[in-house]
Amino acid sequence: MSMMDTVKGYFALINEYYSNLLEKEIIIAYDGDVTHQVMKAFTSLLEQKLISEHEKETVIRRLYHILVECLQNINRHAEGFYPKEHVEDYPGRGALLVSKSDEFYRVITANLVRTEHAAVLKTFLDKINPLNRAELNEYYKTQLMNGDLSSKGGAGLGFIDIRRKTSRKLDFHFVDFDGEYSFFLCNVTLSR
Amino acid sequence: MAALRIEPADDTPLIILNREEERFEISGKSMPEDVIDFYQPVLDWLASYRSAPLEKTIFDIRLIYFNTASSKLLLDLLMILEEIREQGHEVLVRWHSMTYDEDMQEAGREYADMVDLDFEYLTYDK
Repeated sequence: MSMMDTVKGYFALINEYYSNLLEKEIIIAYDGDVTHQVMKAFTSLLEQKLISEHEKETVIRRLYHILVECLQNINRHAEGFYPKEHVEDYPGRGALLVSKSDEFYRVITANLVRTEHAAVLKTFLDKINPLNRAELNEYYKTQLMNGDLSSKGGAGLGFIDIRRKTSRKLDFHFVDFDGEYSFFLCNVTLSR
Repeated sequence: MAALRIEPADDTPLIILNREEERFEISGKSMPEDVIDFYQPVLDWLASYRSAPLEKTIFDIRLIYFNTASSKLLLDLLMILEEIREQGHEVLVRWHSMTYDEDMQEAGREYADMVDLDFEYLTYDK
């Protein structure tokens, strides 16, 4: 395949990808390594854009927080693109889509996780989804006081807080990749 | 004891821990690449301060943002202040947040529930 064919194929892919989206305004579309620098750049870009569009300050703060937590999950827990070569210090790789409609913002992430970790994650997310506001607050405090927190973060605080800040159930899916690895897809919706 | 001052960056807060000037402050954004690396010197300083605290410690927390990884380290910090209080010294946490920022105000009330410390809530505009 010539280079031009590759480029055309790539544009066709992007075209299809955009056409299939319900929301037409894409703020960020990314697929790659999610380093701390990438996280800082995207969160800052998002914040500046929303300020320039005079979005409500509470919404800006919440969306900023959601993006930080989603990207840190990928940074700390996702596998690289070549998972078999995974090393401890390698930043996670993942795809990110931040979009906007009249009613809400949406942050979608997709990344590979080991299938055994996927099972643990699914159990945790299934546990927090049915909780009401008071139960979530209680669980957040419990995890904060007793949860196992390492330099990688953890204790599920990010997901609990996203669940609280959006007042919606977490919308997630696991898709088998090759048996050993699964795709973790997470769709966070924040009302404007 | 020697003061500790850490200048702010775009992902880490300003830290001022100064016994001589009676200034204890953490302000700005907290989402460090490695939270434990960043907060260890702060916790170490407060642990030493605990052995010879002022009669009254007023600690100002003026964060505009902190991620969930930082929230655990903030609790660790407050727990050292709680120990100072338990030793019989007065401690006041002044929790500052922007007027519109209800989430930050709620975060302060949540911490006040978790530790036995007096909190004062202050709001400010930009």
